[in-house]
Amino acid sequence: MRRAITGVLTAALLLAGIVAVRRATPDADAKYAPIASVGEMGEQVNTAAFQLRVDRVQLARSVRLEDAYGLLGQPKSTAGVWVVVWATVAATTEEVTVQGARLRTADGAEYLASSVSGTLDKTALAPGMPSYGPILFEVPPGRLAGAALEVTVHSVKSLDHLGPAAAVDLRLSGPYTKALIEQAPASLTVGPVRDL
Amino acid sequence: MTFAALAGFCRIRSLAVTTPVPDPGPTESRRGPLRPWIALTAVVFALATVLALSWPAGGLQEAKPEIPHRRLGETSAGHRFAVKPYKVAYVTKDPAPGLGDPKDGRFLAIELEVENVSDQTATVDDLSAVTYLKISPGSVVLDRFKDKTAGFVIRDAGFDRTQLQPGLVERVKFVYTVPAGTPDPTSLTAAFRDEDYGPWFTSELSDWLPGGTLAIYDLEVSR
Repeated sequence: MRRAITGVLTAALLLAGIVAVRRATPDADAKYAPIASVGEMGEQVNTAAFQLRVDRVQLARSVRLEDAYGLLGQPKSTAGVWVVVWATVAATTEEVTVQGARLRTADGAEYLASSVSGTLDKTALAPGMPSYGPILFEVPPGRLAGAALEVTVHSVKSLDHLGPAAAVDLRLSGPYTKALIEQAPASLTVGPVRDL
Repeated sequence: MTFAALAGFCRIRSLAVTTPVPDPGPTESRRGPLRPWIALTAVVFALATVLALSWPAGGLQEAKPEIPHRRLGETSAGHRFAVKPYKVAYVTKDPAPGLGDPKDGRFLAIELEVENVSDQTATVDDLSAVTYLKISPGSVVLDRFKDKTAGFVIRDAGFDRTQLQPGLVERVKFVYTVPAGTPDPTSLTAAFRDEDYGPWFTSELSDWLPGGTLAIYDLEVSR
């Protein structure tokens, strides 16, 4: 009987070990995820393809984009809230466009930057010439607290495997986010991308 | 049988009966009755093997229910989208011209309330790719790619918004041309296919993969 108990315990232990190893092993998505350089707001984040600095974050209920000639576009509303991330980006060695700008919320959801044209994530960046401009996101207000910005060079995730990425904590704490949402203007004019 | 043969047979049986059974050697003693721990371990191993093989194959999952038939205004939620068709109209003027003046023709416009219930940004094209349409009379299947002339989020009186962000409910409009030679549609059968996010046998990397049919809508076409 003792041997039977020993056998069962050994089998259970081995099974638990297999499950533990299996769970601890990163899946293919994690293995091939972009290689991210992590930073804070106001800090320069260096990657192999670009350098990024997030300067500020604004919220609004609707936005109007202003082009380089000062012309205003039509107001754009949203079912959630507009998050306007102002950032400076420069390509390092060759021309890039940071098309893979995403806002990752605390619950793990990823919000790809709005398809609205004229924003920083739609601008081709020449090497060594920094550009400053907005990146727009539409997010449900209730999911905004704790969100972080993640930037890659492709909007299609499968093209970014093991590619360069920047991750920036936007310091959107719960109370601060709540205050930002309450004070969000009904309309915000968003200026164009500027070369620095 | 002769007497000599019978006598020989009896002698052999007598020998067989009286021959002593040899003592089992050390090898044969191991083939004795099955020990409990071996039996128990074998049963546990067999059960674990069955579970390990059947679990990934979905063998212990609940059988899928039948495909529900729904009507206008009813919601169907899948793994990527929750859809609620609320208007189907047959029109003879292009309801969503891309550039320039609206074109004449025969169009079917479908309006839905859509929520992206996944955790990734999607587009209306992702939804139209899993939407299958059949108009009646004539039971004509619309090509979900070739016959679609427009697909957009109804917002700000424009046709250029196509993104569906997680957790945001949007009103979406699809416009299809009614193929030439078919009668004017009076009813529409719309089926929505679900999608699952995960790895497939061709790749360990996750992607949106075809799932089962989410629901079938039997809809009247208004004019």
